[in-house]
Amino acid sequence: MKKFFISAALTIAVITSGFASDGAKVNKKVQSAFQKEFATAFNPTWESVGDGLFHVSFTQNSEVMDAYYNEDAQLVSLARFVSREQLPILVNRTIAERFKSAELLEIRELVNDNETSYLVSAKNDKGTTIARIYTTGGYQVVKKIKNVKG
Amino acid sequence: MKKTIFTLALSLILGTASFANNDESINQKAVQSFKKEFAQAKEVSWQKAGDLVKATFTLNERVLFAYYNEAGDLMAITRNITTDLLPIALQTSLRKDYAGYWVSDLFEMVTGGQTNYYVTLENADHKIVMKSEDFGNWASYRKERK
Repeated sequence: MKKFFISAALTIAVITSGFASDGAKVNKKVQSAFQKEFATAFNPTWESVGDGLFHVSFTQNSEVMDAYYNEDAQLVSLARFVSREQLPILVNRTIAERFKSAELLEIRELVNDNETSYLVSAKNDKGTTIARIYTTGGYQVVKKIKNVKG
Repeated sequence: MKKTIFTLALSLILGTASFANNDESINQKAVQSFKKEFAQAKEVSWQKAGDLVKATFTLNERVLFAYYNEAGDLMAITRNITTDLLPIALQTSLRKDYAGYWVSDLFEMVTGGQTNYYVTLENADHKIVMKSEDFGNWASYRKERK
């Protein structure tokens, strides 16, 4: 159950990442783990996202990536923006079925507890839907935001 | 079915799959299944080889291949990709653990609702074929000395 809450917290953190930066002080153990894992990372920026988690945004191989570490310096999640071409066949099929008349705003690939999934934000005339699509093509709505009238 | 998929994967890896263009003899069960499964497909062409038929088509601007058996069952969907289209964990693993190799072949295969990637890596002495076990790890599938 605890794993589920951490996973849910990370999903929300990934959705809202980039909105706040508190210049978090990150312990050396976490920084060392990051430098070992992402030796060619460029321009890392750290922030604390609560629940003992640290978020680092960086560039590697010309891609902007987001990594999340816990206080024990374990990499608990990794995320990056992807294009539709980068999506597995089954994920792309689910998007085509579920978001036929919607505009795709962004797609993020998320690796969490060694499980890969995709966070898709799509907008239609009713509002914006953020959904998680699993590598099997499974679909789960994470958040729905209604358009403001007027 | 497992044996058929194994044979198909191996023939694709080795490049020994030979498909004869023969539209007239293509099993109509396969054609009907295909039309139902991939209603939005464009530029469809059919080829036949042994017990399987192969449809080559474009969907969402991507070239895909679908394989059907004689009963019209969809056995596999594949697409050829480049390294930068791999999921991040598999891509990172290749860069970190096989830096001394170059990629000579890479494709994605969907069978039974599961996705696997097959990569052929080469250096001056060896040729390795690996299959993704999940979206994070590679397992050796075949290794040979050149």
